[in-house]
Amino acid sequence: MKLKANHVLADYGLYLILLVLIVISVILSPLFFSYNNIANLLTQSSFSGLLAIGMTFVILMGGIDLSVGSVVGFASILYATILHGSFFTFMPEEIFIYSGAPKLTPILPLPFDVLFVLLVGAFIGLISGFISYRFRIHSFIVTLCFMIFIRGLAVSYTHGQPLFGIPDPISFLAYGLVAKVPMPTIIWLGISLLCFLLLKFSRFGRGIYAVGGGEEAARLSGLEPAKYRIFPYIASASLAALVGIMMSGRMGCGDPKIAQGWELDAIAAVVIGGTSLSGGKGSIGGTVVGVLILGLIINIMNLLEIEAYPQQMAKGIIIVAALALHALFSRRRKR
Amino acid sequence: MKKKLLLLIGVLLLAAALLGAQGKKILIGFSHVAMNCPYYLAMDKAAKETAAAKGAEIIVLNAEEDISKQIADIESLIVKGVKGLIVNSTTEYGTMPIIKKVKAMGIPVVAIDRPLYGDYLAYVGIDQWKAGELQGELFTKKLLPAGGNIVLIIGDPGCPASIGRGNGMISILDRPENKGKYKILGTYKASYNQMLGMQKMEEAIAAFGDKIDLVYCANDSMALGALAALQNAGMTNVLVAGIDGQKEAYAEILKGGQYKSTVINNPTEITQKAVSILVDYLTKKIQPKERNVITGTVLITADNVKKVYDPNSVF
Amino acid sequence: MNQQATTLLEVRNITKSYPGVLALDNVDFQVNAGEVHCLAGENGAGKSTLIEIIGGSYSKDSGKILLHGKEVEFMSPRHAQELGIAVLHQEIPILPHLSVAENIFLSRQPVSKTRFIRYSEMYRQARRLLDTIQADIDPHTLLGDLPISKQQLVSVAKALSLEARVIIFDEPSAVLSSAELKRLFDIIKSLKKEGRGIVYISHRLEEIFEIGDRVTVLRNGKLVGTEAIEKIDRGTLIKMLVGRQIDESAGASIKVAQTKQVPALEVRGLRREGVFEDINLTVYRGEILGIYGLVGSGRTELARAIIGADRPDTGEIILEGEKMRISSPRDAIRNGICLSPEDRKSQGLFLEKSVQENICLPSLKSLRNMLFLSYSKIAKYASAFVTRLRIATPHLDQYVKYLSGGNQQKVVLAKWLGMDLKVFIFDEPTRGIDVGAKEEIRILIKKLAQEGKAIVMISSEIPEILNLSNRIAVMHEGRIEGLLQREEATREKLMAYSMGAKAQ
Repeated sequence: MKLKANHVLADYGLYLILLVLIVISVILSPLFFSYNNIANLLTQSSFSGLLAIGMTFVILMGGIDLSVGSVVGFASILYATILHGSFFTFMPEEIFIYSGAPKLTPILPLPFDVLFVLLVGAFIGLISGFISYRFRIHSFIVTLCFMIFIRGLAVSYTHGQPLFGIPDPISFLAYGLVAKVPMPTIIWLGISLLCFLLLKFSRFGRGIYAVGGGEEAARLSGLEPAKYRIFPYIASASLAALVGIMMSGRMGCGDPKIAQGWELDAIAAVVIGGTSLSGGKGSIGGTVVGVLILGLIINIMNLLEIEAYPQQMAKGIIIVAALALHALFSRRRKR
Repeated sequence: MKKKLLLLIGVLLLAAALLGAQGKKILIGFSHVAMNCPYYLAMDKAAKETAAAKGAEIIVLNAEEDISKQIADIESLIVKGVKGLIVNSTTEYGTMPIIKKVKAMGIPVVAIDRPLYGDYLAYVGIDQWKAGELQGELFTKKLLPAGGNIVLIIGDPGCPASIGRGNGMISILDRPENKGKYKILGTYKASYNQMLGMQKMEEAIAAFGDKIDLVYCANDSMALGALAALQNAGMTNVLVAGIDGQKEAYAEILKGGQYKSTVINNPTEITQKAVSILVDYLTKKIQPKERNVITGTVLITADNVKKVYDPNSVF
Repeated sequence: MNQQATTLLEVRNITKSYPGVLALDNVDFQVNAGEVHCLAGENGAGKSTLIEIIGGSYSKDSGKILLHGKEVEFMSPRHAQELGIAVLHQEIPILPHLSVAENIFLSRQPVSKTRFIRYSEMYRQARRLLDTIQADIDPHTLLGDLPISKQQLVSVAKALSLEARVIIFDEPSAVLSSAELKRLFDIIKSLKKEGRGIVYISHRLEEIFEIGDRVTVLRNGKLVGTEAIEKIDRGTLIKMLVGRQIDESAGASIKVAQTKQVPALEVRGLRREGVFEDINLTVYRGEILGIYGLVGSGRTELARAIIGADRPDTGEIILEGEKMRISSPRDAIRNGICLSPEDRKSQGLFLEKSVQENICLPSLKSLRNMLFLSYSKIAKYASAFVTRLRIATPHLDQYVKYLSGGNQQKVVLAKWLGMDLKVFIFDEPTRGIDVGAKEEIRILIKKLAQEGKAIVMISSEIPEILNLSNRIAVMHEGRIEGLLQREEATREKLMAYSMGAKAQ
């Protein structure tokens, strides 16, 4: 009956769209199912996928994090800087010039530099979350300012130039394969799974839904909103820092100018995946599907050799269409 | 009805498969850095023409100056099954890992225009540093022998072309005999774009006014923009120099006015050479004679501009 | 019933004040095990404040709270809940996107040893709780998908899950039908049997007498008295609620020469499903018709229907003898009716705009110079009203949000005065305004009537209604329960009708 169909569409519409896209891709290009292509698709999705996880938390809380792209770039050069032991030098000109094999004099042993950069990312998130919560300024404004400031900081610190010399273990993060699955994908899906478990099966996670969906009601039920409101920004910035490190591995250098505009892709994926911008409603699973949908769209356009700018046009139209369809399905469900 | 549908799908799949299986022609890929100025557009055109002439198929992808997109583009080209790659790298080091991977897969790489680091088959381009030096020599020996103030407009601080062209010129100024005579008033970034070149020149004029003696731009597009700004401000005594050998620049030099010099960096020539090297290697196994093919880095001034000026050329 | 009642919760000498208002003045209140203690009083008497303090949301200024005889301080709602006190607010706090079970167990979900939430266990416990109160609700449903009456049952289930010993119901009947109310009463009775202490807040006399064991009446923040239900009757209760002090402020009401003229406004058979029905009213020029009734009796909804904001299902609106089709406020205004809404801040004014802009908005058409607005005309127009109504504002450009309540209300009035309208509907015109300003507004309303306008005035303040109206209609549960002339109206009659007593 109509009612049943509407319900099915609302709950599974997303997966349907994914399936349809896969089918279209297969039909339009025989190259789609090649190992290389699928590996590429997954790898490239992994980076925006990681950002989208953090963004999911933020949007569940009714906020937005525009600073993730800048944090990626910043983390990337911060990591490269630490590797050269020139952390406190303010004009590290020497390290910009390629002079044979990389001379690494890292400040901390390898796993710890990674940890350090992640902590810096978490700290950035803590500050922006705190400012937004304590002073009641919408996260749009706060993270916009951080976006500009951090990007400016990264670019001026390196005079716009990339910092080379990333060691092999980090390259492995970006290019390595485990049982033929690209490493970035393993990291992305692994963290997605962890966050899914957090949101669904922990009291803290349910508290996030509660505070995001109705702070006053949550407060009356005994939850203290502060930690729930700040956590998403910490998560978002830490994940962005992780992406920054992984991108360094992918490029073999730290680059302050990468990831510009990636925050919008993350937001698009989260919203396509069914998370409501007003907060309280959504899921990690939906975001994963949203990331794959966006990835598929770009992938098929690449395979069809559509040029870069027309690709942007198509992307914009498809995102709006997906959102409209989703809204349509949910509204029908209410009947 | 169902049968017809199945038949249609079957036909489509077959057609797709056929399209996918490229014929006997060899397929190469060109990962280009951008398409936002005449220089790059000329490269695109030359690449396609040369490939066609040599009986090869070529796919050109544009990274829009984004290193991560370039990496994705190269991966995309691999998927498409290219047998060889031409790369104009966004940053020198950013493509290192992906080039390594490509080489490991047995796909030869020819670097073009901007240098990159890795095991490439050949590099075709001008010597950026030398181009800068040539201009530096011209400034110190001929244009401003007594010294002067220079405004520097580069494309992108991370780009090897800007670094080479800029620092090459500065290295001449730093020579002992020139020490103290010249001053760089300011360095601006204009993304190799004419419009931005004009804007930045306007800013420089506002900041330094009469002090400016000469403006040196990392490419002709920006220099032409700077020229326009100077003319608008009525500052017709300030000298202008660029690099690349854009035909409009030649025209200005021919006029004998403010625009004094440029260095040949012919995108068409470079691209033709690069594509030829690659296709020859792939089809006939011809190793390139030299690994670094430096095309003529020749200074063009009013003396020799007539020889090279061709109003009908692409670039 | 126990003769020796155990006191579960006691508050003594509770005082709480806000800037300018003494909300609670030395109030005592106790809740015993196994009883339903009703809390009654007019709007603003202090009931909500008392409940918020007991529930842990607000802190008291002074006084003691004793739980099982031991003194406590509530730090937060959560703290109060942990100590066994559950408040079921009138506006049920819900998380609409989460399931019924999740709402019940928020922050207390059953977890396994590895700290994973056990969903099947949670749904099972929720099911059990809902069965206890015989609620036919599937714990998997999203709370936002349920009607308000069922949401309320969920909040009862939540209180049970907290193992609350003291459960406070804040005006639960406002959203329930009579059948649902009966079911709620059954639940309350069984809670009583379990030895819990129930506090029940309501305006409705019949409910208080049906379910209550004791009743405490507050008035103006002070404790009037606490009595056992079996010892008092309706009359006594009404006297306690309304009080002896009669607010005889200046000015007798106007005697209108009720010539057999055509009524300015007549409403016939107006009805809106579930909200009001069978409304028949007439208002003559120069007359003030007061409408009295409790919250939820349908007064505001009636006003909105007359002004065209909400469409009635059936009925006629007749202006000066002519039947009118009023499908939007614009129609109403064009035909000469205007409304000063109950919620003046969000519906009657643009807080972020200036006094001048607010006053001139409906009349902008007449303040133009050809195509463009004439700011000089606007300023003149606005300042004329500021003077006439004595609106206290530093200048015309002052944002309305900075004005006092009384002056804000004057701005609302000024908005309509220049438009030559015939019928004015006022919904609680003096609510939230200090005493002095209240009187000013009342005088202005009287003046309007003297000028020949027809006035409908909705008010919950009995002295005000008695003072100003020529006739008074009393609404109860969407019907006009009684229609009185000024001379025959008394406090007791008004209260009685408003609570459902039928007119003799």
